[in-house]
Amino acid sequence: MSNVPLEMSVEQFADYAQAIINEVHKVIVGQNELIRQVLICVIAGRHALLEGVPGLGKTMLVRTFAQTMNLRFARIQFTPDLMPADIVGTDVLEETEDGRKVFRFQPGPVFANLVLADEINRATPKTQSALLEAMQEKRVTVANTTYDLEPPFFVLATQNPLEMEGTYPLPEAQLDRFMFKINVPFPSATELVEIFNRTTGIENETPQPVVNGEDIIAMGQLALQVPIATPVNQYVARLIVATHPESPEASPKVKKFVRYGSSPRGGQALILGAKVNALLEGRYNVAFDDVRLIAPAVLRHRLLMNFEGLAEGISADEVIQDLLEHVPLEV
Amino acid sequence: MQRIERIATTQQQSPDHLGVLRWYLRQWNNRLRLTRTAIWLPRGLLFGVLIGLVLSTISRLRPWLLQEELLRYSILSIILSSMITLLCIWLWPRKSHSAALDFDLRFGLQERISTAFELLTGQLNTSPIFHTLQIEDARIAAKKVNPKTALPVKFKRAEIFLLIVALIALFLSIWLENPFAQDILAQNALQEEIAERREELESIREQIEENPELTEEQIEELNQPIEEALETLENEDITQAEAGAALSEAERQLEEMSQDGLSQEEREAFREAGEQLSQNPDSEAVGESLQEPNLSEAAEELETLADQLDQLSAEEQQALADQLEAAADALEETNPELAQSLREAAEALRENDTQRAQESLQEASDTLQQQSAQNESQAQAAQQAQERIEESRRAMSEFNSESEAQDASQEQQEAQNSESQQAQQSDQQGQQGQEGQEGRQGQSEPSNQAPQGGQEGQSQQGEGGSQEGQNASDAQEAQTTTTQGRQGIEGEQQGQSQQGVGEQSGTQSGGSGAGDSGGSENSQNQGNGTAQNQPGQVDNRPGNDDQREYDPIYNPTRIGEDDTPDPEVSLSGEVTDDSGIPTQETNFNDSFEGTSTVPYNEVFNSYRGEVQKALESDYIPIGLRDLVRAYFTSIEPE
Repeated sequence: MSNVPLEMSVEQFADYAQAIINEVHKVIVGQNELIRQVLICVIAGRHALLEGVPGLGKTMLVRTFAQTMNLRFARIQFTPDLMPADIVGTDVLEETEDGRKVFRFQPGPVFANLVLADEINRATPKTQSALLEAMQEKRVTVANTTYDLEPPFFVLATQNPLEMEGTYPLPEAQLDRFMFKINVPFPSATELVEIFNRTTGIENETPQPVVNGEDIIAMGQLALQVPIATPVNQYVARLIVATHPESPEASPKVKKFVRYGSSPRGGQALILGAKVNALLEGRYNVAFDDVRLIAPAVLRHRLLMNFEGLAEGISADEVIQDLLEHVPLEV
Repeated sequence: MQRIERIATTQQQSPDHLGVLRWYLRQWNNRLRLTRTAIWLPRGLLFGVLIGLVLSTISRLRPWLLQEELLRYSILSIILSSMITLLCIWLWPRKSHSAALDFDLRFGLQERISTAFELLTGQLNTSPIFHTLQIEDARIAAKKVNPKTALPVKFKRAEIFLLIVALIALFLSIWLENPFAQDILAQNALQEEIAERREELESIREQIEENPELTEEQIEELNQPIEEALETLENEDITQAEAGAALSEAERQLEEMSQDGLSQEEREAFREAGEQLSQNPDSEAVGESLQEPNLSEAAEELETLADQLDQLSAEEQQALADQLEAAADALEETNPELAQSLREAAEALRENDTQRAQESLQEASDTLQQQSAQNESQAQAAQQAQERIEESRRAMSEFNSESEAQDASQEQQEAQNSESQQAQQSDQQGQQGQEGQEGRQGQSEPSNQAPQGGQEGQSQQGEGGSQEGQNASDAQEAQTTTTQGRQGIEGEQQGQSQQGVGEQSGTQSGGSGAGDSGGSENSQNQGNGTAQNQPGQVDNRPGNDDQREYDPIYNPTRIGEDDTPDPEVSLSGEVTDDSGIPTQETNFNDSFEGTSTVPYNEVFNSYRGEVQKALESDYIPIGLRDLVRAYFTSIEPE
């Protein structure tokens, strides 16, 4: 990736980000935080897991993002009978013009820039794991042949927290590959009115592409250059360490309800997301507030609750809030 | 603000961004310290005031600090605690990095300053353009900060109120009279006085040590009483009486040394040797000189004896040899050199070697001369030291009188108000009491008393303590006890004469105080005593302001006023047992002469010590103690 003229890019970064948000808002009513967090994931080049009840516009959101960013979009509806080959593709037998029969790789839907893994927890773990290599390595191996995925590549997965029957919870290894787990909130009454107006009338606004894939990559490259002061860096480290119940810095709720804490990948996600957030805020450095703002989305799927936590119905967000209150900014 | 703009403009043109950032940090630091001063200075002041209050409270529970000292210490503690508070606030070092982060959090600068600081100090790296953008962003953010509004100087009203209350309490506790003030003043004055006395003793000791005429042994001997007195005076809990007693004891010991420079053992040895030699007519003069002891005269007499050896017969020489041998035995322990010379002389006389005997006697004479010279130096030094200590002791006595007179006036006032009746009774008893040796002049003839040892008369002089406010029998008993040791028997006196200088108090007098007046209870005053002063007749009735003023009724110095060179008083008398039969409490040998002479100034200290004990034992009523004390001060030897 070529270097982007930085001074311009900083201004463009803000322009592009704002343009994307504006375009998305043409379709999606409200959900500002949701849109912002998805945008952070997209700019950071990482994946996001959206969790919410059906009908909240998760699929619409992802589709709108793809249209706005002028990316190739693929949607995979995860079902129990979905096979890995249905995701990554497979070799098919074809007859050439001269009558010979050869295998030709038929790419799956994963070969897109933005993949919507809809209701990802409904597929079997075997199928879910088909996404592992694509999400981490951004390449796919089929029949001993490795195919690189074209950047940018994002997986935006959704899952329904209510209908757990017949679902397969995502394994920890796969969960850890999602930068954010974003809770999709139910819209307010005002937002609902606006949603009704937009979706039941004759005029439907169509989002226009405002950026392309290269712009997204450039924005991600720019975000990497945002400096982070040592105290903030140390704070992130303390936060990650404090998610582990055996750590002396762990908060009381972590010690009581958490079985296992965040991996170092969680810390990377925190810093990366904080950098993008700083730029979105118009700052050129990472602040404590950036970290604290994105900490719930980064950590909520990385904290494994113990039996006591599950039995008492303690949510990860409660534990994270307790964590943020107990870990000091300065030492 | 214009300055900030100017610096900001300058830093845009020059690369000294770090300087600008540090300038901001300094400004904010100063402001922060100012706000902390507003919070912590009242606390520091409060701490100092509380210390003052604690000191004041302690000073009101026990004698410790005077008002002035309390005020001084309170101000000092307030200033000190304030200074420490200010120093901690303004001089406590702060690292720039932590200060930058602190102000980021205080001013909500979103870690712009700390990030810029790290970028400028090279702790953090990023692309050059981002570097510039971030620092510029930080500068703009810092410029927007108004430290006066972000860090307002606020005082905590509750703490200020508490400080004011504490200050008022401290002021009152200092301003209100301390019940222990008089005690503390007296203590301080006593300590100062004792310190002066200590310095004086040190000076005396140095003077003795620098005296070239004294040997090491003599210096050590002279310093011993001074060291003992110093040791006593260095005790912090010493009382006035103890200090006076220590000085008196040192004075007494030095006075003994000043007489002839001899120790008691040496004096006794010379006396014994002199007695031996006095038994021989040829060496009688030597013996008498040694008994005095007058060593220089004894040396001259020895020379004379040596010259006369040729004229002695063989028998006389043998007799003299025996006496010399006996004298040598007496002197063996205290003066071995002289004893050896005398022994050699005795051996030579036994061997009829007159010449060698003369040489030995001459050698003994030289030894005595030498010792006489040394003793004279020691005596002179001891006398000088004794005189200086005496001056010290007098100063101490004057101090005692002054300080106790003040106390006594207060105590007496109280006593007069609350115990007037008791005081009147004491007054009557005091009039009936006896005043020791100042009782009277007159004669008393004990009915059961017989002359002793050819004495045809008695000469009594009573000296002793006075007891006022006691019944007559107690006073008489005390007087008898104290005067027994002072009576002298002087066989050469003819007739009966009792001499006393004093007064007759009341119609009945309980004895003159002489130890041999066993029937003194029935004695009647027949002499012409000059009853001019009556310390026993203290009029304690209300309205009489002259009750404490009186003149010394017995002035010992008058004894020597008639140009008598020897201030010693010779006494004669007899000691009787309970049945009235005369007894002698000493060894009755042939040489006993029954003469005892004690200098007045030597015994005075013992009496004074006894009086002090009596005063401390509460045996004497409070209202009359100062009278007793003043009396003994008035009769101090000059």
